[in-house]
Amino acid sequence: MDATLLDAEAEAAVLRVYRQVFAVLAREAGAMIVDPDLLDVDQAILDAFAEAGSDGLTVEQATLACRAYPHDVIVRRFEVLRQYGAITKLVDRPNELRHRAAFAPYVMLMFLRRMSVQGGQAELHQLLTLEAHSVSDPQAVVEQGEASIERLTKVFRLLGNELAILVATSTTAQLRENAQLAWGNERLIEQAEKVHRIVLDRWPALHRACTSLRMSLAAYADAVQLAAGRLVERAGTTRALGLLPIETWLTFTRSSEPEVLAGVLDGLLFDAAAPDFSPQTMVEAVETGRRTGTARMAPPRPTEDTAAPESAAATDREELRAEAERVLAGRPSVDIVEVVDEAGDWITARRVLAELTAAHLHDELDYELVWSDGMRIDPAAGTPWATEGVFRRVTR
Amino acid sequence: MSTPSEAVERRLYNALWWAKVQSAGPLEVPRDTPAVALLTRAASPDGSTVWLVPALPSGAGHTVLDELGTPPVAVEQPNETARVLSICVACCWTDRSGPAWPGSAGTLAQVRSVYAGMRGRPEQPSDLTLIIGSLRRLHATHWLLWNEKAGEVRLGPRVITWTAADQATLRDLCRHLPDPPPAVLTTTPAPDAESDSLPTEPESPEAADD
Repeated sequence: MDATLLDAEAEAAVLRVYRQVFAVLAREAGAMIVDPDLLDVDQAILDAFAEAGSDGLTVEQATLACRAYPHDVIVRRFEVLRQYGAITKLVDRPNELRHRAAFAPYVMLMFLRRMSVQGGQAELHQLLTLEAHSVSDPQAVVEQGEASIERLTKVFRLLGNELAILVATSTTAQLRENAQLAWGNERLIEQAEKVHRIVLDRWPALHRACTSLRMSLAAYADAVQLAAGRLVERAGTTRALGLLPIETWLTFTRSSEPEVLAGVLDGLLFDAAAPDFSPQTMVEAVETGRRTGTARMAPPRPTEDTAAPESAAATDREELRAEAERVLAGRPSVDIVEVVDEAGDWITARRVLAELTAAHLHDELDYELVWSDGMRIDPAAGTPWATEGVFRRVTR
Repeated sequence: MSTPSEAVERRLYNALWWAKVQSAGPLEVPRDTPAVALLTRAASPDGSTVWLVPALPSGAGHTVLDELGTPPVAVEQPNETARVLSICVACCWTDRSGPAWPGSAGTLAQVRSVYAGMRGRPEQPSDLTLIIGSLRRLHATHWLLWNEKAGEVRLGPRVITWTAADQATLRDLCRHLPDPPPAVLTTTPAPDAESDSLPTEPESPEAADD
């Protein structure tokens, strides 16, 4: 692709206008402004140039004309505007002191101010009116109609996307603040449909482009509905309240005169201050009350299966009884030393002792294990050291 | 046609009643008191008197306080009190197909029984203190009419402000609470229709089980 000098010149011309247009938004060459008051300074400078007429102004004259603002601020803004080409030398030669202002920045400034009030909505209305004008122009050709439809499709897609993303990702407060996009949407859609109708009637061949416009309009309408739905859902019963931050209402009630408040409350009758018990709070209270109640109850026991653990306990008991009877071997009582010796080694003896102890401790078995002070020491026995005691039957 | 002076008179009349209601809450007045704008009339069960209850437009009630993050009117032991109110609704709203007002009279024994049933445990001595305290609070704010001498309770005039949706919620709540035992009234004998229907209800042994 070979760019001719002519192409380059055309591009440069477009860029020059862009640079001029954005001069009013530049903080310094290369950065956005961060303070909206600077726009006022820009406007004052451009106003001064408008007043000055075809002679132009020097920097000193401009600062004098804008003496409402600090001198250094004016000089700095003047410099920025000049770097962006919004203000140029009257004649491009060295040591030229007089300057002239381009008109594009001022147009942009007006545009910005209007956008800042309405969030671009009024501009969109006017754009739609303009588009309707241009497509109904008898001189218009099919390409113009197509371009117009494409522009509208893109505008509404961007609008719809922005809103849909807001609905999906932002908090209610953010949504509320950015929701100007949603208001007055029906008229926007109506206007776009009007353009669409005109185009479709005049150039039926553009039905494909018209379909995308219809789709983007429908998507936008859906996004608006979603956003409104979310706001209304969060606003609760007092829908109007939800549209303003709560602080606004509180400030209003705190700072209003009695007459103003009385005017608002005219026709509303409130009774003496009384606690409110809404059905919802009642349900919640009962629920929590019930919960603490169940927490205190004993853990649920199945009522049917008393037989199962009973049988396990029973076999346990019978085993202990059998062991005790085996040790006693029909006698009313038996010496522990004898039992230990009979068992042979300590490993077996301690198992027998454990069972005798269990039998002694068992509620339902009538045996007891009584230890005495003596100790049998016999190096020849399987268990050389054995505490004396008796295991015997008792009657309870 | 009302002459201007009549209109002024009516406004003064309304203003007088509004001032009364604003300072004292719902008022019980003789039946032949003329209607007052913005005040709902709730006829008492025997029809001799009428309660005047302020009717707020929907959406201007206590929910607004919630949305504004403002604390509501404080009440002692709010949860306990709300529970006792629910139990009284279950006891006094016998015909749940109709509106809650005026309902029928319930007894303290019923309230205690349902309370223990809701707690899921035998009644404890401290329960009675809580119940009586809640009943008194609710009586003072016209949610209930609590006759302490007779040990009987009725729903208060404020319940006529419950909307159909509120009543549906409460019906559901009543189903979740244990059924109250039949009321044994001491002072005012219940109308014939009620006393006839009560013994035939099969729920009395069930309630005794609780």
